Amino acid sequence: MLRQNLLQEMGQIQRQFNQIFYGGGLAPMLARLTAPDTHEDACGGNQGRSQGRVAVNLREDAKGYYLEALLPGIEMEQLKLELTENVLSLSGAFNAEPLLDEEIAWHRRERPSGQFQRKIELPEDVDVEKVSADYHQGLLRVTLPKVPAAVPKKIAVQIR
Amino acid sequence: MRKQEIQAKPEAIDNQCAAGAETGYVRPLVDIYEAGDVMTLVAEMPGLDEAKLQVSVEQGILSIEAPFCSADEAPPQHREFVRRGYRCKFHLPEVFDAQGISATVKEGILSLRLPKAQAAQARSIEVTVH
Repeated sequence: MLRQNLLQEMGQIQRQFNQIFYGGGLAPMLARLTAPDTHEDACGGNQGRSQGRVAVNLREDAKGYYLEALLPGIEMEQLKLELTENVLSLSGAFNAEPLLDEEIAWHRRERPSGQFQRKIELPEDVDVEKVSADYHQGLLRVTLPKVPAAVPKKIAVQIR
Repeated sequence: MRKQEIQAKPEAIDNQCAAGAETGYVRPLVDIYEAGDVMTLVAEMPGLDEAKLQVSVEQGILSIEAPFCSADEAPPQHREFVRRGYRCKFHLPEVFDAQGISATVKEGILSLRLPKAQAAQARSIEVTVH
C-alpha cells in the first residue's frame, strides 16, 4: 500500500517536471509562476524538498537557461547528470545511513533519504555541446547556453 | 572539507549584505542521533554561504546561523524554492562538553559532533573480587 502511494507520487512529480520545458517556450514556466508557492511548510524548513524530491529553479536570459537544484550532501561520484537527446536527467541518492559500528539512538530524523531522479526536457535552442555544471555546498548550477543563432545580434548600420 | 572552531562567545556576525537583499531565514532539516558518548547533529543547508556560517554555544543554547544574500540577478521564471539563510537554536543539556564540540561543513551539510562531558559519561567501576 505504502509502495503504491509512493509510486503514484513519483508519477505526479514526473508529469509536473516534464511540463517545465515542454513545448520549448517560457509560457508553461510563466503559468506556473502565478500559482501559489506550495513548496514551503509552516516553518519553511523543507525548502521544496518534501518527499525527497529535487527542487529546481530556472532562469532564462538572452544567452541561455540557468538551472539551480538543491542537492545537499551528494558525493560528486554519486551525482549523475546526463544529457540524452534533449532531455537533461539528474539522478543520485540522498542521505546515506551513518556508518557506525555502535548502536544509534535517533532523536530527530528530518532529512529525506533515498534515490532521486528528475528529467527535464530542454528547449530546442539549447546548445547541448556547451552545457556546463557546477556543484558547491549542495547547490547544483547548470548553465545551458542557447545556440548562437538564437542570440539576437546587434548590427551597426552605417548611414551614408 | 572545512573545519571550524566552535566559539564559546562569538563576536558579532557580519549580517550585512554588501549587494542584494538579505533574504530572511528558514530552519534547516536536521538529523540528531546518539552513538556511545557522542551526539551528532546533521543540518542540511544547501546553497550555504560557508563564509557566513556561525556556530556558537552560549548559556546552554547551541546556535547555528548562516545568513544569505540574494545575488543581484533577475528572478527565475520558474521557481520551486527560495534561497534563504539558515538559522536554528537548540537547548544544549549540561551533559555536553561545549569546549569539545567540533564542526565540519561539506556539500551543504553541517555536521556537529557533541561529546558528553567526562563527568556525565557512564563510568563502569571495576569491582575487585577477592
